[in-house]
Amino acid sequence: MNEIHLWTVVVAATCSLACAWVGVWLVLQRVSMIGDAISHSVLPGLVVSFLMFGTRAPWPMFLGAAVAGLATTYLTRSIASATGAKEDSSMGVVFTVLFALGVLLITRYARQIDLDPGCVLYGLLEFVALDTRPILGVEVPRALETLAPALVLTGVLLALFRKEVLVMAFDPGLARTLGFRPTAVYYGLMALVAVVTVASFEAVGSILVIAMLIGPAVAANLWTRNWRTMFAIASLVAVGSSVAGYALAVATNTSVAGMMAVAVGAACGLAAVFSPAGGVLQRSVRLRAARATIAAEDLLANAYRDLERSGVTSVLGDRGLVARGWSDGVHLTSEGLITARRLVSGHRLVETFLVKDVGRSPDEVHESAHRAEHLLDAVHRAELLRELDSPVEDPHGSPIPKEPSA
Amino acid sequence: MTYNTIIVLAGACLLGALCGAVGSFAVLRRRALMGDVMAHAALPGLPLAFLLAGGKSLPMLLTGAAVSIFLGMGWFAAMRYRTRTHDDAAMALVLASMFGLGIVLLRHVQNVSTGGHAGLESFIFGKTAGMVASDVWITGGVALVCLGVIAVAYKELRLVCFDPGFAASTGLRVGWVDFLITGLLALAVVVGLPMVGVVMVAALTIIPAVAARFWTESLGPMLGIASVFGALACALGVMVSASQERMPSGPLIVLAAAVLFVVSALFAPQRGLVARRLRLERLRHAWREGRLEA
Repeated sequence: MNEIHLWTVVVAATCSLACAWVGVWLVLQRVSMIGDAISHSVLPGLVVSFLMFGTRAPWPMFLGAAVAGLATTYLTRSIASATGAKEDSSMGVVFTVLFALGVLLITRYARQIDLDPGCVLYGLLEFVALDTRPILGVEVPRALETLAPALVLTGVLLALFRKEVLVMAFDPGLARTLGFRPTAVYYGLMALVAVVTVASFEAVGSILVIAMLIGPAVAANLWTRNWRTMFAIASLVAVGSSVAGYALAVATNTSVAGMMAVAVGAACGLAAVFSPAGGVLQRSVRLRAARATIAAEDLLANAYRDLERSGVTSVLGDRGLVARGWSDGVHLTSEGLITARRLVSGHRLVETFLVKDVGRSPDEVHESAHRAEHLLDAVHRAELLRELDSPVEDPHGSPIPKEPSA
Repeated sequence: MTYNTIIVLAGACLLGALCGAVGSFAVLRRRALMGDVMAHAALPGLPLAFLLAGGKSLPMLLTGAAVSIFLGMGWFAAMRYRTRTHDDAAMALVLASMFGLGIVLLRHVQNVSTGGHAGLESFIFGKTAGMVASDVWITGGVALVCLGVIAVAYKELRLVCFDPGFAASTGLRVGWVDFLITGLLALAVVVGLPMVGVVMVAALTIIPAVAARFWTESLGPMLGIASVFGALACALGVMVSASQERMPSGPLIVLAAAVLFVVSALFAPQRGLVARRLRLERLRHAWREGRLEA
């Protein structure tokens, strides 16, 4: 790997990490689209600060963009609360208008401004490794001068205010009662989003910023419920898709930022399918297993009822003996019989409960009991038995089998 | 006015009216930003259609954009309804990834094709002044189709927009109505893309509808007002742009819409800020005079 490849990936990964860390909070607080809004509306901030200071030096630009970013969130909230418009509507109004203003200013003052809206979208990731300056004798890309501090700032702030932001994300009501000043925390977070966005997008473009704000967090959220693990996975996805995206882009000679955004999307798609905690695959496997179990249990219970009708089990079962019986060619092993007795006993207990305690008619309780019988465990059945004073018969007059001792 | 200006004016007004009406449903269903997601998700379809058709025929490109939006929405729905990802995250993810894919494919087209691909990128920022008569016909046709669909499904649309819970309880398939709204929005975005570009078409589906909401509480008038606002914004934007040097029409249209929004938010008779403040003052006054004791 030569130095250019290395530095490009380092720049991309630094930016992705910072985005991913803030992004976890955006996704948890369900305000993901603010990333989209901010990354569009920084445009007029850049233009205005360029027109005011007449330079493309990083700090004035940074300031202008950060102000525009914060203005977006502030205006979105104030318009929503002052007019009663929904927050997504007012966000849509605010950032598109600001973006339009930016494009207009760029076109208007095109001769003075060396800014290309296209470049704001895709960034200049292909060239960041060429624009370097020496730091401690090593040629380091200039882009890291803003990205590295942004990453450190994000890490430190999120670590310091971990508790506040965590409570905010999971329980805003609790946050208020604890005196955490949700508004202050919200704007603090939004300021951080603005800083990260602004620091990142000159190098990587706004599209990759949105992808990296949201994608790693979505993938991590699909994989785990624990927020520490979520951070770890989001970091892994961010760095991983930076590397993978870069490799793919070089191999196919296409846009690096675009390919990284695609890689993040693919990571989310993979997580959605293969996640062991609620992925589509795992869900369908579990669903199939549950269906198979229920079908088997229904079969057992029906076989038991057949045996019961032929009179075999009532005799043997009541003596606590485990019976082997035949019914129309169906053979029940001892374990099968035990399971069947549990199911039928649960079924009939639920029917009794629904009729005696809930007051429903005996004709309409079978379906509910039929569904509930698969979900009851020994404790439930014992409780029902106690609650109903150990009934011997269900509302239809069928005997309720005693809980097998084995 | 030159012939060209009239064409552009007619096309832009039609587009504004269409986006205003269709956007109203999205705004009422709290999916105001869906138009934005769609506009971004359309991008991969353009270079693909270009490669498949071997040229820049507008109907092919628009079909490509529509197919691409459809796939993007499918991905959104899969993330939203089959996993525990929420609305906002699924939207942002689809938007960014699809747009990234679009940029990758655009770059690929630039690499492999010998020529003729120039102008595909103009879909991102739009080229209102480049409109020709056929664009107007296409926009008009799509607007008619949308109007027909809205007229036929009006009752269902209204029910789902204002009381989805009740709609579901009457046995209406809310999911299908939402699918219909998504389809209408996609159509408007697809025809708007080449004219005003990604962000501006999103703005057209949002701002006139949000502005119209201030003036009325019922769906019919809201659709009408939003259409008028959309058309008005487009007309203003195009005319200012035509009369001035270096004033692009896309941003001007959005800014004109923003003016309509501000006026509506301030001065609408019931929900406007001024009316609200007056009501509040009257209430305070009554309270001070002791007329509120009851």
